[in-house]
Amino acid sequence: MTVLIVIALMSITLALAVGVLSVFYFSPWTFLAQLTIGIVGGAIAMVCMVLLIMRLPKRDSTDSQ
Amino acid sequence: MKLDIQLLFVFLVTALALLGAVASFVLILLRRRYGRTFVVVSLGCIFFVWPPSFFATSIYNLERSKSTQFCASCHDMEQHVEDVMGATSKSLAAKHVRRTWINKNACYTCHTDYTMFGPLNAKFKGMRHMMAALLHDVKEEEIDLYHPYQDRDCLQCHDQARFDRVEEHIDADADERCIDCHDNMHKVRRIDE
Repeated sequence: MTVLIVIALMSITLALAVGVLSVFYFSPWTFLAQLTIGIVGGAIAMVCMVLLIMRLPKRDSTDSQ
Repeated sequence: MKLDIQLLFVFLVTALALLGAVASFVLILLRRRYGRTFVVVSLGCIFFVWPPSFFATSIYNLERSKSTQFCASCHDMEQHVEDVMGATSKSLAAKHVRRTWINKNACYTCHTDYTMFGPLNAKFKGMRHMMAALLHDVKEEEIDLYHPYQDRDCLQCHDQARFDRVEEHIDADADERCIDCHDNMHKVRRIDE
């Protein structure tokens, strides 16, 4: 679980950092990087989060009784 | 750099998302236990904060990519932009800019198809041009229009009423195009040759 969360958050952080960079230093390179890293990073994070949800332990039904 | 509302919005959304992501990351490093609250915060950060931030940044950058300065940032287009911005240039494009017929985004204004999906197509083509300029060595001879310049792009600004005032226009053949007579579009070396 740790690995999944770390990968997801690192890819998101990288995508957002490149986004900030492209806002303040706008050039063809940073624009292209923002789009590609944004899409790829976001996709990786989404996959990791879906896997994480699938691996979460199910709530025990006896807890509520 | 000009600080406007759009930039402020993009910055705030992105900064918020970045803060959320970093905070979650630090939380993981500090205590390796996952309560439901922590998982919900992490999921929220990724599913609900990241997409608006990505789209806001992308739309803001796409809007900025319409500028003439952005087109000039590729070495291959330097000649064209120098001609358009030239104080003494006699080309049709330069006259449009100098006489403030086109106030901003000079390249985009003339080189966008004014059809339903024209602006979208222009952005996809722009992406391809950007990739080509960054990843390949584009030669000056390779730069050309996809198709001959279309009359409808001229007629977006030059409306019918003013168009009909010119005698030559009334006498023109049906198959004649604007650029057949107004052919001095850009004054660059390759076109001159």
